[in-house]
Amino acid sequence: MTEKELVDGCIREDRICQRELWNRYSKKIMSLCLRYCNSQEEAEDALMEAYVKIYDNLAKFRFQSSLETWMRRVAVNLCINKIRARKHIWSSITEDEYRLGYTDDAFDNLQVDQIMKMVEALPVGYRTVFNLYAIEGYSHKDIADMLGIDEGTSRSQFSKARKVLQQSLDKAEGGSLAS
Amino acid sequence: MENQRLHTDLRNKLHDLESPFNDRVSFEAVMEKRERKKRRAIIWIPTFAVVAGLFVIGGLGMLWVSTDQSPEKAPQITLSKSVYKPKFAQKGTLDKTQHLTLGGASASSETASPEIGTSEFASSIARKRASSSRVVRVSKIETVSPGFEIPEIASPESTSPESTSLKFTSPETPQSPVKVAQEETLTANVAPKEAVLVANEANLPAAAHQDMLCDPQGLKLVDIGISDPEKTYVEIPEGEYERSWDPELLKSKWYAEMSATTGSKVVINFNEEDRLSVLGNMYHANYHGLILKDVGSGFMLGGGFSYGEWIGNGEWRTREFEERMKIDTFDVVVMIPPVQSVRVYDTTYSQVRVEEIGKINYRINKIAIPIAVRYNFMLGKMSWRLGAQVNPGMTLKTSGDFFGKTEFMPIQQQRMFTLDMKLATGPAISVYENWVLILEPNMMYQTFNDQVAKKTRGKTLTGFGVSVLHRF
Repeated sequence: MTEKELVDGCIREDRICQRELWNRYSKKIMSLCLRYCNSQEEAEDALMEAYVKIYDNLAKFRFQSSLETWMRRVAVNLCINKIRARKHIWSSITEDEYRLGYTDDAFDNLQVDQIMKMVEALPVGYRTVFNLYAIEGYSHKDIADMLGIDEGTSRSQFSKARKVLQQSLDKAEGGSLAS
Repeated sequence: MENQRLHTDLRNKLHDLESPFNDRVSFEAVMEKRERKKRRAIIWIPTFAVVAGLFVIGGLGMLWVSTDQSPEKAPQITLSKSVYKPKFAQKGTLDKTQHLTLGGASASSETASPEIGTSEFASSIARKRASSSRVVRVSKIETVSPGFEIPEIASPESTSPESTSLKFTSPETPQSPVKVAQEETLTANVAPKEAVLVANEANLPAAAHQDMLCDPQGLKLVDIGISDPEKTYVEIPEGEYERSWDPELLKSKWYAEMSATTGSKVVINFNEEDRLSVLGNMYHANYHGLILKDVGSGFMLGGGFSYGEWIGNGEWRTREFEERMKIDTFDVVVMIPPVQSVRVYDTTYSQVRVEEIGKINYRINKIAIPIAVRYNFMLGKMSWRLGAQVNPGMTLKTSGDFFGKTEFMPIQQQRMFTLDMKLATGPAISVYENWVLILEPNMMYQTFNDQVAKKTRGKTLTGFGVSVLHRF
């Protein structure tokens, strides 16, 4: 079933198409939600809400991007809204931007779930900006608009996230060397 | 560079990652949640409509009640006529309910139907009392107008059949009210009896309900016919009692107004010829507090303070045609000995339409000192208000890019002069004594002066506002 057929079917409220949409993308969206939310339960709630939104708004999808990209965007927006509802998630950072000493194989030695855990372990503010910038590919200006923060805050949060992530990487590498 | 690689690595690893979820999360659960959401909307929308309807009906009802009280009941005066019977009275007792008619109404009762409003009233009573051998003392009658129904208040001493209710039955012939200040005492053969007509001044404050809030132009234009169109206008009595009847004198002329106004504008440009087109929405919310003074004839003037937010968001799109060169390369093998290959370059040019899309938004927060004029008028049975307002002020905070249909430009300054103009009209609903709710569809022209570009930019937004007016 092509994307077009899938979307048209969902707009017609065709259960088969709607189920197919769920089966095709739900686990990826869940992975995305997990990166933004604090817990599995919260991520699951976000996933269901995102799908409700997706089903309700599929008629607005204009095929200017892939369906998956659009769905990811809906889910990201929903997660962002949830995060924005929480206050005081932005810790102030005064130190200079930390340069990440990235080595070629720093992530190669790690399993995906280990990276995922590292990202999940980041504080909410860092994690959100890191996810949006490094993984979703938004610019700091877009992130600032989405989160209602200054562009500088976005940059500093990202910098801090990288620093924490680097520390986690160092630990992981140390652990793997020790073993 | 390193960072870019990190991001690419992370993206590759995490982007397509699939994560499992618990059994409670399923397609069925999502669909059920969706159904619940739809049901909620189905329940809430009619509920909201019913509540809003009840609110409006309640408001209109209160308006009707208040207007009903105002023109008709406000001038109402209760006269009590008590007939005192001496303990030893033997003859000539009043045995019928007496109807006193003001304004030249003819006597309808056989026993007593004096006309109040002329000196004949007293003499009529005198005649009657004389003939019935009784003492009638008309102590005081104040401020009566034709068309008023005067209920009866019997004194403790009076006997019920002799209590007199005064009914004015001839509104078609309005006359000046009567003040009978004199006392007439008519003695007869039998012991004196009294008929006392007393203006019950305690009821006068009922006139206080007649105010601009119900009828913005005062008593003069208030038709009793708000509830009964057949009846004639109320005459305001002259003389010293005029003061207590004149709502202009009774009422404070100062009002406070609190208002919230919203509006929006859609910017659409589908013209393919334009290189740049913008699709967007603008919204504004404006809150103000005003002190208004009633300057008569339904007009109010005033000023105050306002705070407004004007935001816009949308999408810009550029369309450009690029000429692109395409080179196709063919290797042609020439089989004639000696075998050799010849490379042929085929160059073609094509026009390619390149579109770029981006997001755009702006925000302007501003304060202003509004100058307002209001005109209150009656349309049918409903009080309406027309309002115009000018808000000179300045921006508090600005950000983003302001846009029109075919252009957008950065807002370069934090402090700019602004000038907004608002026109609004809508029904005024009296919700409580001294409180009026005004529902105002409005049109607001918002401008700011871009000193860098030396240009004033503005847009007209339309929307809805709610105002609450309070009379001090």
